[in-house]
Amino acid sequence: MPDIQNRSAFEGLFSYGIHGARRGQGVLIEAAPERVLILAKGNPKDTGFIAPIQKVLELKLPLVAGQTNDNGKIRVLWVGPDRWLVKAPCSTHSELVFKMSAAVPSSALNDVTHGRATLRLKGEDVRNILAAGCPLDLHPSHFKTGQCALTLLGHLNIIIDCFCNDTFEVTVTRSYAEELVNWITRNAGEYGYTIALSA
Amino acid sequence: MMLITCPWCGRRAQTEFSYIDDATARRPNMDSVNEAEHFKFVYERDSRRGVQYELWHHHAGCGKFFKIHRDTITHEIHATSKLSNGFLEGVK
Ligand SMILES: [Zn+2]
Repeated sequence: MPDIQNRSAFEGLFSYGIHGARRGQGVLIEAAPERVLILAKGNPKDTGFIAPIQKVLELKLPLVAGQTNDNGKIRVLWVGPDRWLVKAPCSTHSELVFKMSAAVPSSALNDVTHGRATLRLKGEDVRNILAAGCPLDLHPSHFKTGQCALTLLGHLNIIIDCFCNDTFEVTVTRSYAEELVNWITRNAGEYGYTIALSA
Repeated sequence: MMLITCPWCGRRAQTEFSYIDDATARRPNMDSVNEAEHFKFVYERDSRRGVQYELWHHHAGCGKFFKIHRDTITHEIHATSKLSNGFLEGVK
């Protein structure tokens, strides 16, 4: 039997340390904590979908475009008028998938945990760096804590998730992890950045 | 850059969208259509100068298709709407 190892999508892609200009605080780049990612599709007007799934998640699904809801453990992102992305701790993986499919057996649930790669970016210049390639208005008065969006970063399709004013997660499909790291580091150089081993 | 108001996501950059088709094109009855009509439906579109109804796709956003009422001369967008809203009703 082959020896299967759990490998980060960013393995071998990071050069750890401090890089680029030394201007102000720079930004901190790290792999986001490993989490379960589940895409759920269902009709927001169907109580047979909304009620049971909210019960399992112990969280309301955001019904407003670009909003997230978070209960401290699980975070749900609005990614379309009938689609949500669930981010949950890895420790809950098999139990959560099982409970969700049992709760809404006729809905489309896709476990994309191993199909995505997520970087966490922290620092006061993060918005400026992302703005170089993202067409959203990322000014703090417009893109606020708790908001998310599917959008572009250069030519990459990304999911951007604002955890707090200066902390963002950027998710790509896994095979684009390298281009994401390249894009971010290329554009973060003028501000300075630190690549850290994730906690 | 053109800004397009997605009926779900709000005002977003044109780079997040793809043009799909003339929104007034109607699939002919496949049981009775002849080859020439079928060909016309699949391939032939007017290249209008002025206001037209278009289908667009918010491919880098919510992934939904919707309608745009747009002027091809000025690029002015008069309205966008969900497919389920009938702003094309009565339009030939
Ligand atoms: Zn949209």
